[in-house]
Amino acid sequence: MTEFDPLRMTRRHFLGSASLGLGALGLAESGAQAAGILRKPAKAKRVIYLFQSGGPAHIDLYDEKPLLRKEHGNQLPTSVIGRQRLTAMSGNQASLPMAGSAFDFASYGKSGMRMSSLLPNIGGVADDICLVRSMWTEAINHDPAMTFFQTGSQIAGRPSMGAWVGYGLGSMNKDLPGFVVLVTKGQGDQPLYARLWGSGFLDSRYQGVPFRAGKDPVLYLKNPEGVSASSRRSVLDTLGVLQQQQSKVSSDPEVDARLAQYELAFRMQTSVPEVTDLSSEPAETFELYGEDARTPGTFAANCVLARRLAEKGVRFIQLYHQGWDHHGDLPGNARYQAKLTDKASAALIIDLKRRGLLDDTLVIWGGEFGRTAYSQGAISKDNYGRDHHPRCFSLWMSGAGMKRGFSYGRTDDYGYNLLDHSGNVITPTKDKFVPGVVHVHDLQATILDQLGIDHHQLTFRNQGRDYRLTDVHGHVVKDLLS
Amino acid sequence: MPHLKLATVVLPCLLAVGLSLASTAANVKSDATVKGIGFNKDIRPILADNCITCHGPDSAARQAGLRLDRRDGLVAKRILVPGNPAASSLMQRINAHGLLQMPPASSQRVITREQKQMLATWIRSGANYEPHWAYQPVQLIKTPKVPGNPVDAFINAEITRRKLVPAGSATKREWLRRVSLDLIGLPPTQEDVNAFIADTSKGAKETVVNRLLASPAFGEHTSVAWLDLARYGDSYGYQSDQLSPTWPYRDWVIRALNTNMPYDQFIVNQMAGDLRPDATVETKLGTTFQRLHRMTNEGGSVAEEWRMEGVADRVRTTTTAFLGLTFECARCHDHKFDPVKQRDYYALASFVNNVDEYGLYNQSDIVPTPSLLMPTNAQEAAIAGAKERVATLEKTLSEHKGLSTAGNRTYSPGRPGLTARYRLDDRNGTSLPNSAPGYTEAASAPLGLASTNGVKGSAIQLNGDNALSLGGTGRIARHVPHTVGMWLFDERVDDEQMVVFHGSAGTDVGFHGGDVTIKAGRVTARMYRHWPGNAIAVETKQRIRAKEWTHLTVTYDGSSKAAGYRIYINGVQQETNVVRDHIWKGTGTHAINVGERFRERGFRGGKVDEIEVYNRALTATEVSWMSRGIPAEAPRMLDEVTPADQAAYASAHDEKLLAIRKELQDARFAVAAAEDAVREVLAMEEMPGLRPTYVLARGAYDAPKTPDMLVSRQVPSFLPQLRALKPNRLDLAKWMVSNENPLTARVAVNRFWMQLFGRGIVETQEDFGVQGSRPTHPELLDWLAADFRTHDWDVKRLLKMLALSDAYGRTSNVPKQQRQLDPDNKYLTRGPSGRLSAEQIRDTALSIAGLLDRKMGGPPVSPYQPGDLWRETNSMSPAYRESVGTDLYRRSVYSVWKRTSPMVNMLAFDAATREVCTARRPSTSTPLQAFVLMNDVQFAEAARVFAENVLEVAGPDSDNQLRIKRMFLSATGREANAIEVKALSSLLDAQLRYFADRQEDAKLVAAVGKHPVNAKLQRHTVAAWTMVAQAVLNSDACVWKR
Repeated sequence: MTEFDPLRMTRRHFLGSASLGLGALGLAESGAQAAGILRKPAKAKRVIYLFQSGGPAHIDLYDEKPLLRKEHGNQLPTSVIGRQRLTAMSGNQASLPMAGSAFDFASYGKSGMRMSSLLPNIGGVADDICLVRSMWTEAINHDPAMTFFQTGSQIAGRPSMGAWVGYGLGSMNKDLPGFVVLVTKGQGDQPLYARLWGSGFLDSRYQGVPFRAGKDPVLYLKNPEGVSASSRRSVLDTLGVLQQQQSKVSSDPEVDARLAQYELAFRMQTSVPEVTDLSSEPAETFELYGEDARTPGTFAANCVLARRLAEKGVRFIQLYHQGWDHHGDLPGNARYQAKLTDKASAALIIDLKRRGLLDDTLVIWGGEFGRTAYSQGAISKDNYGRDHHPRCFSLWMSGAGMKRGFSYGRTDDYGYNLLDHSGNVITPTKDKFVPGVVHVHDLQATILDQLGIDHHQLTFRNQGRDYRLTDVHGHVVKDLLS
Repeated sequence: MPHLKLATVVLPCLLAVGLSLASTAANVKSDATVKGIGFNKDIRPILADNCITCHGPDSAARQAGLRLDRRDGLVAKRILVPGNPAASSLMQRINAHGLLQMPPASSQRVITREQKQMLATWIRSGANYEPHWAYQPVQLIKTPKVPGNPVDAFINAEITRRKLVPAGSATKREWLRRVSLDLIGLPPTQEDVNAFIADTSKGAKETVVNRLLASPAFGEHTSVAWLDLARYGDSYGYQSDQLSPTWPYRDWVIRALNTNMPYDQFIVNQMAGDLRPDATVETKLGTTFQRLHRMTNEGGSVAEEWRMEGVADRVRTTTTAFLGLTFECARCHDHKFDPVKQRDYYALASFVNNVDEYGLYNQSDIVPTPSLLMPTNAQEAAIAGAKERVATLEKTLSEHKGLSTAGNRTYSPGRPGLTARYRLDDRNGTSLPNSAPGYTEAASAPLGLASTNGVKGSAIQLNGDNALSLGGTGRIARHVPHTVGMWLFDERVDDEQMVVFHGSAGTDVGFHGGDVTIKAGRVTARMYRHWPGNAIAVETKQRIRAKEWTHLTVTYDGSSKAAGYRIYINGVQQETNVVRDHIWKGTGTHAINVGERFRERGFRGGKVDEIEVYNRALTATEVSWMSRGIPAEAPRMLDEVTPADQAAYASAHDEKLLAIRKELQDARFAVAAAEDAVREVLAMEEMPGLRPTYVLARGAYDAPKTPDMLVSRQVPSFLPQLRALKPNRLDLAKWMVSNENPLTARVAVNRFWMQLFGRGIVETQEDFGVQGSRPTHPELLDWLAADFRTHDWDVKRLLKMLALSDAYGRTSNVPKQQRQLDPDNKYLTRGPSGRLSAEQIRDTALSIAGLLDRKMGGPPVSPYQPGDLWRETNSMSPAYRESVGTDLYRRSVYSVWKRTSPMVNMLAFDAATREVCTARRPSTSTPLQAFVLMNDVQFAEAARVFAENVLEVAGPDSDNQLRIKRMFLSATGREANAIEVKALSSLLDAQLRYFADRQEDAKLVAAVGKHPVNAKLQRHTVAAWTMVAQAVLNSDACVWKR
């Protein structure tokens, strides 16, 4: 008998050994563990990802550029753009005038972190965050850029980050999904797609489960009208008898596995409404997160919910806040989005910290790319728009093993190009890791590392290839770790 | 750290290691093991997993110039010493520690002790290499000389060889349910069951299989797996994800399967139905397969990037669906495991890279080219009639004699038809007056566009970002003749294409209408619905001069032909090249804007002056007057002028002529309107010439395209070669279905095998390459493949043979001990079983409830969805409009499939998202499935209506136990046992009592869904029975195939 080599699992092995008898929710052992993918000591037990969809402008939020303010309205030197591609939205624009931020920057915290006055509350937790100003990505349009961030590939069909983590680590609780998705309600702007929280070629049990604001927090959670919990209980008990009979005849372990899923579903019918009902939160919660948090589906309410889910042991909590795609009237639009997100983002950090959860919760705040130093469309003294900019942007993390009150990475005076440690403009490629700059795959590798997973090892074989979240790239950015 | 170069490390000190290991290897020597070890079966997987990434087919990643996937060279280098493991450096290295260890520790790959022993044994026994099985020709296996179904002969031989014991036969009811679900996706009806039970003849099973294969439901069910492969969806799949009317292709697949189109033809039509000498609309419709890749209309997208993305998806889908190969890897580099070079990838891509397409779509109702028009007979007649009328009027026009020169007619060289003249001199803020007599609509120029010195008085200085809008004077449309003339000054800031003026609508992902552009001085005039495939366009051979005032006039006669365009520079008609010359359907009618179009390169730095617009095509003479002025010595009488001037005059003054022209314009509009009604579907159509295809470094669309990167159409060298000298897609298709092709037939029979047996003979249906799983029954696979080809690729014949095999007819219910001997049922010791697919589960529930509407084909339907999930996170999406009436209960294959927001109740059961080609779905159990089956209106309603039917059909006086038995039987196809009856009875009793006291709740339960309530029945009875029905419909016996 050949020894079972756990790292080189085929799908057949995996399905054969792991899916039987294990529920999707109460999964003590993950698929990857069953596949022998080893874990190392983890600093983070869970992730709360506050995805700011649309591409927040780094120059107006986190990356101060006095030169742009000085040169406001003047043509951006072509030498700055170099050979980088622009989108077809502003690529044909006859002039590319520099746009200085409409917002003042200030120093925050003991660390003196420079941040926009738009985000005073996030500034207030500056000493708890690790701000990366040297993120970069490859995609220049929303759909591929979002897909790249969330699945490690611009091409559809790959598992999302939350699905990978579920596959790698399993769930920590018996009656809630391991991967929950929360979307700010009614924001419009750039769309979200099922693939962003999909399971790709992994099993559908690793799919993220959207929790929606309103009466049916999980689709199909509620019994049909008129069916009480006691009726449902009786039906399930009867179903149990039927399954038992089937199991006796077929001896197929899948029969019992299915019944276990029904029991989990039944528990979820209680646990989900419980966890999503914020009415038991004290008034003080709403003082902290803002009165918005009383309205289900707001970003603030979702932040409160994220904390509650974290407390319940949900492994991956993915928030999406749409609304940062500011091609025109950026000052007005950014002011509005900041109002919706700043206070609650900071509150979440404060809340997690005082509950002792920040030590093993990794919080991430950022979008799919940055925005251009030049104005898209008309520019005036106090108004401008910005197009997509993948070459550099900012993102912050907090908690778990991340450094605190720490700023990392630099961009040039225009906020257009990345600089290396020595201050030279660089055009990084994902093939070569350059200290100081953080590619999306590097971020993914770092997140997995914090969760105790070596990103090289978290693989799944599909079509003859061992796929990873980080493709064949990615480096853990040790500089960011405490 | 880098891997050490193997060539340099055959070090003496290593020999000791080698020697000590020799003894380890020597311990393994049983003859049985030696006999049992095969290169493909045992050795290749070890090498593939541990060595091939760095020592394999990928030339760029190859270390030490060493290839372990081929035997040649290795022996010479003593890496392998056949018969002597200890002397083989391969063994030395894999047994080494530290720096010399292979695979290196950094790779995190580990070769186990057993694997090492196996390698040693293999080397000792001669280190025989075998080429990868799937790339070898299909072996001609003799049909076993055993009575009965040949399939069983192969399977039974393997069972015997493995000393396993096959299970007994399934009961008639079990078999009937299984075969019905597998062939038509629906459970048998009570009548089907009765008929089969009553039929005690020898051919009873065959009768059933014939009936099922003849049922239209066969195609509906069998198409689902193909539609997964074809990544068929009803929407484009990116960002705003507009709906794409591709359903005629879905119906084509169903039709092809139902009419038992030979599978080779099925492939040829989807690859190249447009190129067949006998091509019809029906064969061309197959090629929609190649166009079902997702497309985007996200603002800012670069068309060429997304065009290449589409081409790549065609390669991926074609190779996976037909050949079971994983070509995708080779898009960026040589394949790591299979001998597919990056060049091979692009050589194959060049077959599907030659259609006249744009990488983006524009809006839902404009089908991106190339496309296929599918007129109904009535539409075809209407279009023909409209075109005939145009032809008649064109003839009348050409035969019209014009004005008589006799009778002292006065000649006045005006230019009638003028609708706008903008001198651009008297500017009032943003407004610029129109001085054409009878017209008042002013033009407007934003303040950003300054006035400057022009040819006459002032001109407008353009900046490339702002447009001068010509009021409502524009009449640009496919059927509308027009002339636009102006003085312009081309600053020529660069040699990129710049928009001079346009009358069109759209966004940066595509416009429709007309435009005039200048690129490095060459002027192009275009009219299009979807550029470039659905368009007419001409381009001047000469260039206008930069930085010089030039008069440009473009006339268009409304003929929808490139020849209908004339371009004049400084009054001189230009020679032009025809760029495109085929347009259909409407272009819209649009006002004219000068100098800029949304997010395009405008006429930056340019100036324009003296703009004139006419509602007809001016003649050459008139145009010359426009730029040069009317000669002072112009004659006064018509018979004094040249014939050309006579014609010019006539074209403007002859009322008869003008009337004909008006009629002609209306007739031309009628053609476009008639075409607009015609269904249009994405399809393939080869374009003239050959678009060069290049190897793209890292797969990037903007990689340097140098001559050495140019590829010609070829198939990979490890497969049989094409015979055609200049092969096209049709040659490629024929190659796929040729007898020499080792993959196509194997992949096909394996998939149909999977349809019945749940898992393929090759489990990895998506990968027949080196990393894929090996066939459990290689001889059977080859026999089936050859048999399939010999019998004209007859799909129904193949399925019938499989369905009638003993192996398929075994019971799947076996004792635990027996199950454990063949846990995955690899050797088919028992009958197939598995959870029903998403579609089967929904269709089965609807069928059991008697709700299923069997209407076939047509546009997709929109069953129940909890609210508008399409727009919930996508405000750009079209709204979800739930169907009404019977469309709520159509077979699931007809449910609308939105690729960024697929049906949640289907995804819960592992349906593919259809964003990319999917060869195999996983099968999972999750709590979401319980939610769907219990709480989704679709399923709750099915339970309610099922309950009503049982109450109704069984008669009001039937006893409840009898009803329960009927219910169970009809849902699961088997009799309930006493325990099951008892459990369901007590549930019923309890629920009857419960709902009797809760009439309001009962009312709600008994009314779930849109299906009319059966008013004759008591509500609390229906409610209680609905609970019973839910228990039954959720049971394994209903949701699983056993």
